[in-house]
Amino acid sequence: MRKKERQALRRAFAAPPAQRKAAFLQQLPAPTLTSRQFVLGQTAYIRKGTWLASVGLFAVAWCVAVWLKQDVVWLISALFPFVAVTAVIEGARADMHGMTELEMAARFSHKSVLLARMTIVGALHVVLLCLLSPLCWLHGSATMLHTGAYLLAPYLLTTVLGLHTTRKLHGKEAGYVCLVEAALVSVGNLLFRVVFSTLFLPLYADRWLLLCVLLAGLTAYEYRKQIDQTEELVWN
Amino acid sequence: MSIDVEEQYDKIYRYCYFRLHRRELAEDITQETFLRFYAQEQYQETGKAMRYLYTIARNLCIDTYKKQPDEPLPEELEQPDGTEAVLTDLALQEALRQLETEQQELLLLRYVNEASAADIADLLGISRFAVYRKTNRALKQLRAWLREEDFA
Repeated sequence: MRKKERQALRRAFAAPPAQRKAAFLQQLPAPTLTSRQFVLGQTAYIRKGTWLASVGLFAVAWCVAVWLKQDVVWLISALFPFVAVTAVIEGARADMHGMTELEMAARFSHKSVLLARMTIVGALHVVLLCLLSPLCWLHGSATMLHTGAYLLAPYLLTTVLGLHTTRKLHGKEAGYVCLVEAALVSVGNLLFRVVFSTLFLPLYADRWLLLCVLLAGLTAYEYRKQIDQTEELVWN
Repeated sequence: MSIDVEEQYDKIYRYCYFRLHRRELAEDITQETFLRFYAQEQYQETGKAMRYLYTIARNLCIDTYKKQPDEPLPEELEQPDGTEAVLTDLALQEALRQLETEQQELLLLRYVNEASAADIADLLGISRFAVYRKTNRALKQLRAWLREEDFA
């Protein structure tokens, strides 16, 4: 339809100005939103790359473990840091693009949005870990619990480093540094496996679990510091 | 809610005015539409707010019309002042009156309120293909009538 025709139609269908619009809109109650609705609503704002990274990793694990019938734990533990960094970058997106102040002025507080998105991505990665552990255990020699620890340790280490980085650095540089850290953890993990192979014997399996608990504590600490930082921004 | 309430108010009001031809009543129905929309709990924000608003408004307009079938003749539309397009606008309004109500409704929703074909299809209970077909037919008839009157 031509622009002139559209404009003519608009004039033809024009209604007299509404008399009570302003008064009505002023007293219109703001819609309520439950916490569940809010958190689920944030799912739509998480980038597709974050979802694809998790799906991709699962697909790789499936192909190698089920079709090729190979021991896949070391491949997956080397790739898992890159999935971890997607979670870190998701949380630091506003800061990386200089949008933190704008998000603070939005309807929902930056802190709430950050918590919601981290919860969603964290839950996704927990599910991913639960799916990957049996696949990696299929052709490995360790128990499923210890296999999970071998996968979780590099993931948590990457998360701790990434969160610390995004707290100290700002802008897109933080994202690049996080990716480099993920690559270093990934390569370091593989080298560690080769050089210190004895540490992966069942004798030391419980120490890996302890390491995971320690790294989980550090992760929680870094998350807390990041949340606190958003509150400091509000005061500033 | 992610919709721009003020913009959507104008669209729903325009739609109600088209259906009822009375300003006061159109405003009442528009406000009732928004109050009912906000009051319902089952709507989850999925980007279909306008579809719900139109459905509520349409049902309210139909109910209102049923209750008041013997209403006096509709108000005259306000005419544009001192523009070169005055005659064209009058001819267009006359041409629109030649169309069926459903065709007028389609043109209003599609080209004035810029509703999506999916929303219109859901509102009128027809397929999206039927929306495109009927809209094109309404436009053809409109243009044909205007050509007859030398206003194309």
